[in-house]
This record gives sequence, structure tokens and C-alpha cells, in this order.
Amino acid sequence: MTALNTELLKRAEAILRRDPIVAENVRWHDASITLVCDAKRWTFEVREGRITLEPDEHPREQPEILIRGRSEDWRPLLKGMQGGLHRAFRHKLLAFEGDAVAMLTLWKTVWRVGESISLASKEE
Amino acid sequence: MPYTNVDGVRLYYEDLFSEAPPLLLIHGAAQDTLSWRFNTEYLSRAFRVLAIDLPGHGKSQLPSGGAVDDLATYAEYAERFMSGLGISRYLVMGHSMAGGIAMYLALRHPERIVAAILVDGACYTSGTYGEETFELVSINPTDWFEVNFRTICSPQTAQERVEEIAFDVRRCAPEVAMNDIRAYAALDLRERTPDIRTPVVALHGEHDWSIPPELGKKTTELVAGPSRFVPIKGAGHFPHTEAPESFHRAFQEALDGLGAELESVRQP
Repeated sequence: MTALNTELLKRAEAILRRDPIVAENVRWHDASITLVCDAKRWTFEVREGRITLEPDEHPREQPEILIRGRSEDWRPLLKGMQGGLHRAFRHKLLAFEGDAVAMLTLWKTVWRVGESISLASKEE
Repeated sequence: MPYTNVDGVRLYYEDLFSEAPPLLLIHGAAQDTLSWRFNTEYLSRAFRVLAIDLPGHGKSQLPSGGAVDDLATYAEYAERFMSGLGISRYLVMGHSMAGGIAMYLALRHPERIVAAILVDGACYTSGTYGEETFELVSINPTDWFEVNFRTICSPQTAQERVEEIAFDVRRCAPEVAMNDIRAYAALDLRERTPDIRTPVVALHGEHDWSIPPELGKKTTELVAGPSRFVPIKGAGHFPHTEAPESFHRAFQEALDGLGAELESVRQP
């Protein structure tokens, strides 16, 4: 069983939608944030000031940010690792790929995606 | 509060003047003198507290050559600032990257430094930065740094205080923040630290994953002179701001521990 799953990410989506930091950060920027865990993928679409979990489809029409790892790489995040995705970037625990400008423009949202997954995991 | 000119750069500083021994405070990356806002009153009970905005930070001028990108240069600005005020011997306390600045001062001016106090600082880095990281972060250093500041606080720190710390970085120009990362990332004084005979104190938040406590402890083990390592419970990378009372207790404990080496320094 992969560390990430659709149920977990649906709950994360709900958390992201009421997050004021995300609301401010996604207001003017569109991009796809794709999470890859083992062989599975999920995408948070950031478009017109909203963030939505959508089926992963190719090719993407907007810049894509990819965060990739194996289940064991994602698990510390699910367990609430201090620093979350920001720490995963600094310590190279996960691979951060794709459109660099979109990634850094939406860095606060990327970080909050990690926090929301951690919170959603606790709800479980 | 006054300004002074160092090598053609107008530097802002605060001086809580008294006849007590001088203590120079140097802020960390992308911050300024305001980072000591919860500490200067306490410290001024026993010290003449001086705090500077490094070049390009806070109210200090950006050098004509652009943002500084190495800690040795920052150290020389600090030293010339103190000598310009006619201060011959002083303690220096540096936070985070400025722990490295304090180490440079202890190495280069041992006759002038009474003690170097590192707050979540060390003589080397945890090695998590590379050129590809710099390339990426340079796109938006302010947001990256803000997230960094938010995540390296302790989970136990009140959210209101975290917000205050996060706001610090928004006062810093992006190119200055970026070069601070470069300056910090290049820090490695492990081979030269055994030459340091000046007392070195490391005060370190136990929840700091950015510069882990082990690095501060290792630094105190490497110096040739007297040293103290004091962990601070419940604090992350900014113990002086996150938990000022615990920080002040740790500061006092460290100075007490050095005893004879600092006998000229009064108790707060």
C-alpha cells in the first residue's frame, strides 16, 4: 500500500481550501502540483485562485511542479516531521522537479500541501 | 539611534551605553537588530549592549559592490565598527550565520574578543545547500526564507511569535537574503577552530533542525580554549526570540560555567 492515497489527499484538499496562506499565495498564479509516490500520481491544480485535487492527466496545460519519492520517503511527512516538505527539500528526502519558477512562486503552497497531508494523516 | 560609517558604508547600530563590559550582538541571515528585541533590556543589566545591522540589512546601507556574500567580510565590518567606537575588548554574540561571524572574530582578533557566544550557530554547516539549491531559491528568496523561518521554529513556540519571526524576513531585500545563504553555506572553520583559545559558548535550541544542536556542541569540543554548550529546551532556531526567558537562563548558566575565564564580566 502506498503512503499516499486518494482518500488522504481528498482530506488534505479540504484543509488546503481553508488555509489563509494558500488562499493568498494561489491568488495570482496557476500551476499543477503533482505528487508521485512509488508508481502512483495525484495532482493539485492551482487555477484562478483555487486549489483542487484532480485526476492526473497528461499533458498538463500549465507549468507543472513534481514532488517525487517512494512510500518510505513520504512516511516521515505523514508522521508530522518538523519542517515538512520544506525540510524534505533542504535535506533532499524527496525529489523536487519541474518548472522551477512555478515551484518557487508557489513555495508557500508547496509547503502547505505537506502540512495538510500531515494533518489529514493525523485525522486518519 | 546612531549611524556610523565603516569603509564607506553607513551602518545603523544601537548602543545601550554604560560602563559595563561591551557585548556586541550580531543578527542572523535576513534579519536585523530587531531580532534582539526581547533580549537587550535583560542583557543591558550587566553589559553595554551594542547591536548592529549588517551591511544591506535593516537600516544599514547596501555596499556599493552589492550584497556581501562571505562571513569573513561581515566579521571585518563588525570589528571595524567596534574599533571605530574606541572599544578595545568585547564579547560578541552572533545568531545563526553570525555564529560563524563570531568565530571569524575569535580567530582573527583573539586579543580583542573576550568571548564568542554562538546562538544556534556553529563553525560549519550541515551541508544541505548546493549550487542547484541556490539556483532555485534565487527565484524567490523572500518566500523561501519566510517558509524556512516558520518551519525551523520549535513546534512548541506560540504561533503569534512564529508570525513575528516570519515577518522579519519581509524587511530584508531578496538579494541580501540570497547572499546570506551563500555566505552561510560556505562556512567551514573546522580545521581552524582548534586554534581558538578565546572562550566559546554555544546556546542552542533543542528543536533546531536547520543547524542541529550537534553542530554547536561539536564546535565547543573543537576549540582549544574554555567552552560551554547549553541546550535550550522547547526552542527551535531562534531561542532568543521563541523563548527569551529560557534563553536568558541558558546565557547566565553558560557565563557562570566559564567562571574564572570571564571574571571581569558582571552578573546580570
